[in-house]
Amino acid sequence: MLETKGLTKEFDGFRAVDNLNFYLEKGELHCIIGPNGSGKTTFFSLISGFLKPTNGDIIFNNEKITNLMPHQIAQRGIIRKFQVPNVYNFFTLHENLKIPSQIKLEGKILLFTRSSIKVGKKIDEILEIIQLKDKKKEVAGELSHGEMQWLEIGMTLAMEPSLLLLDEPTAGMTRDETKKTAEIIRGISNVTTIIIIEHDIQFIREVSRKITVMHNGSILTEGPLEQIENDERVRNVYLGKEK
Amino acid sequence: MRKIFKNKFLILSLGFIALPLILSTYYVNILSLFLIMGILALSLDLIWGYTGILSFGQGAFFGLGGYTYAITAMNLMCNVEIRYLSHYTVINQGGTTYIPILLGILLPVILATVLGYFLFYARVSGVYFCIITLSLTLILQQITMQLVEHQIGNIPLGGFNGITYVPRISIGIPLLFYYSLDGPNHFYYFVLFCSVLSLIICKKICNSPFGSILTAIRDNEIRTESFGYDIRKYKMIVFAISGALAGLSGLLYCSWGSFISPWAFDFFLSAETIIWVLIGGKGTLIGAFVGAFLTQFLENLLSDILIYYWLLIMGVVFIVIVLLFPKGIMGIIYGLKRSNLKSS
Repeated sequence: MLETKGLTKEFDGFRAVDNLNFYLEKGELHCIIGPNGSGKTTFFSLISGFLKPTNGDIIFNNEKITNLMPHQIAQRGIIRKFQVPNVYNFFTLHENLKIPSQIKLEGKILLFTRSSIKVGKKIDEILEIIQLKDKKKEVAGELSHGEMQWLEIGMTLAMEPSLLLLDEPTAGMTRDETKKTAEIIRGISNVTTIIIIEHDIQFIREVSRKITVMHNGSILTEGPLEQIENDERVRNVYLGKEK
Repeated sequence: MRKIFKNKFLILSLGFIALPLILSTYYVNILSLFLIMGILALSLDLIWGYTGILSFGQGAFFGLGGYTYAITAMNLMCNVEIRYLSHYTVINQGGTTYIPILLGILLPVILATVLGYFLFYARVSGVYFCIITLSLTLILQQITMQLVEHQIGNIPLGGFNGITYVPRISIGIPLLFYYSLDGPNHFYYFVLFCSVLSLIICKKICNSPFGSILTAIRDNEIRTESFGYDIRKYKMIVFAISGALAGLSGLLYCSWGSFISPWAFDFFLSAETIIWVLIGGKGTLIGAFVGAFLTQFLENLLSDILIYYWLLIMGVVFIVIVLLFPKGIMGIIYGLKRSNLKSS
């Protein structure tokens, strides 16, 4: 479904992503872990088109999307949740969810029209999934950090993505909140393919089947959790004991 | 809530319709000017208040609309006899001014679209957008100042002196009959009609899904883009609409004074428009009119009473309002309403 070939991104001579060959099957729930600065977020930015690679190609559903604009990539079904909650702070939850819902359901946005009832139904559906129904009329900027994360996940869901990129969905969450997030993500993994960047190993244990470890911009190793946990090299990069 | 807005809007409109009955001709004329500037402020509020793009270029569209109207109206309707340089006598032959009005709106729209295309597709934003639009306005001012004897059709552009004897807007059925809006009351009603129409159109746009995308772009550009919206396109469209409104305001202004000059492209007009929007309340639409009205009314009043110090007082008023009430006058009114709702 998603494939990168020799993907490289240089910032002033520093290779944030270095000759990355990544392969993703449809329906997978794939976790990417790695120490800070290993190029995980840069990798997401390259896939979603916010950065252009120095070298290499990104192929999605047999189509080369390397040089497309972010909105064109989004229209092809790759939706990203940012690391820092990126919602419309001055909008209510309802309005926040309206923005992605209306483009999904109506496609073309015309002047002087009213949004259809379908959009309202969709918004209620999403609010049900992210369990924030009673806060529908509240302003997003006043939500707690965890709720904001859920809201953003909800917004990406409204786009009915075929590939969902989640950048640290549980960052800064309490244990209970993390649990709830895992629940939400497990729920949506049945309908969509997901890549998650995460540090919380407890969380990864709950959701993921396959893990990629990144280090210095390239893939260190790939495999199921047990194998990763017992891998000598992974321990070394995380504990900083370079051989 | 919508009903309340509509009723209040209706009452306000009726009030404005009744005003010429109690005001003298002088004040009706002034009121027309206030409304015309209100439309200009509205055009800025749409692009700045709603979409978050501060444009210093409203003066460019305002002036272009005015000049286009003046040149086409005079070419189509007048016999011009040039005495020397840019001095001329004009005989108005009459007719409807639909074509000048249409062109006076269309040309600014084209300019805005072209400018928007190059700026937004090159991802120019923030201060840089401000500076480029400001430069464009000043360039147009310089050009119109330099072109003294140059003619378009048989109308000399007049340089610093501008174009005079511009015919008033006249309506009717082309080739059959026309009615020139020479009387101050008639012209006032036409301007009022244009203001109400622009306000309703803007309100409709802002309440539509398109409007919600505009505010989404203002609030969080990257998020909106990563939902698959081509924000460059939306910005270009709203910039064109805003250009149309500024053009309309410009041509009305030109018709109001039968006169257009490079002053229309002046830095101070563009800057004042920003002040009007700030004082009225950014992103409220009606606030644009409120701000334009109040500021100009105060200016008129104070400059009568305090011939030397009125500018100083205006400055203090601006600073106080912006410092204490950053959401402007409409912000205060909406705030009071909300607290009333909460207490009751």
